[in-house]
Amino acid sequence: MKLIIVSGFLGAGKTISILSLADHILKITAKKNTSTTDGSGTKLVIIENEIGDVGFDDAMLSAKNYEVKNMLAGCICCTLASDLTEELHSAAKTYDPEYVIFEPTGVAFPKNIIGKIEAYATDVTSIRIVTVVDAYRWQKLIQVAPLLVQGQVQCADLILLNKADLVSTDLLETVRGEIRTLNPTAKIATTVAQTGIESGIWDEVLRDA
Amino acid sequence: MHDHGHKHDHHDHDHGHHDHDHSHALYSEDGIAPAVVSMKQHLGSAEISPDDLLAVCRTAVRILVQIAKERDWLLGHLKLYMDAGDGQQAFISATDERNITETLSDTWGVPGKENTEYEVGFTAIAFGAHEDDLAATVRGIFSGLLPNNSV
Repeated sequence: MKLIIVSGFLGAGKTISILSLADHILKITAKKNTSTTDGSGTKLVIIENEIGDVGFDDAMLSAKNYEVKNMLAGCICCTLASDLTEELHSAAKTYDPEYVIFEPTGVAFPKNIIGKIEAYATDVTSIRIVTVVDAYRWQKLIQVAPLLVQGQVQCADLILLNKADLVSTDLLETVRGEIRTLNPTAKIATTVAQTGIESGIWDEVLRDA
Repeated sequence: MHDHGHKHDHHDHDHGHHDHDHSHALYSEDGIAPAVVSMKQHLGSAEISPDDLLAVCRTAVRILVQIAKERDWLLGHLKLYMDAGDGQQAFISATDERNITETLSDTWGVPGKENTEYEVGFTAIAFGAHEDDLAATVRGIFSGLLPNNSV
């Protein structure tokens, strides 16, 4: 079971990116299995961790017929990793998925989750981290929550520099430079997730997973 | 932990106005503490039509975005859904006035679905705001816009 963590600050575009990734997985799985294209034959589970008491992202993703689990979080604390481990084990037992996509809340450090997942989630064979960066708000966020946004970028295997349509080319290059300094090795892809993400980007994520 | 299974069911609460209104502090892992307010309530189509409900929610989001700007709150996000439980769903999310997105199901507000009950859910996360201020602001906006001051 391959785990793909889609991280990023609140409002960066994580859920819309997950929708694109899930659609892509659905397509390639359907091709591989010559299975149905309505999601019923797809070995994919999405786990959502939302802030607040009202689930939103899970409803949006469930509306597309994906298998969605929600861990509503009133606060970020040490129980998140153990809840996720339990959820991963349950997903493995119930669905035996090839892929699990996990969306942590926008104020979570993926790095703090990974150690426990690697230690205790024995069903997980690989972990990839995709971090969605809000190019439009980057410079503001880096002032308000520097440790958090830096931490989310530093642990990423792939960074989606999103909302590129809302910023000038110069600003986009500045943000890209700052991100590159924080994470010299991750691939950085420029995206406008609202209008779609190139399938080649997801092919690469899945190939490396 | 909540497990809602394959299809999320929002109708697992007692119906009636003001089902849920909750605010609390949230501490992220680097110590920043945004205010978080969640609200959930039910409205019947006899009280408000789907079109009017959508218009109210659009307006509420825009007002809150504007207030956040005026008070120098950094919005983590605003997320709002309307769900009739029969496939009619609408979602609005926003971080600021340039970044408001809306997703409607094909069946949203289709005529002939009289006496439908809509659930409206809303979460606002704001940095620099006090929870009580944010909660009062959200309540104030909705109670000014919805019928019968139902919030």
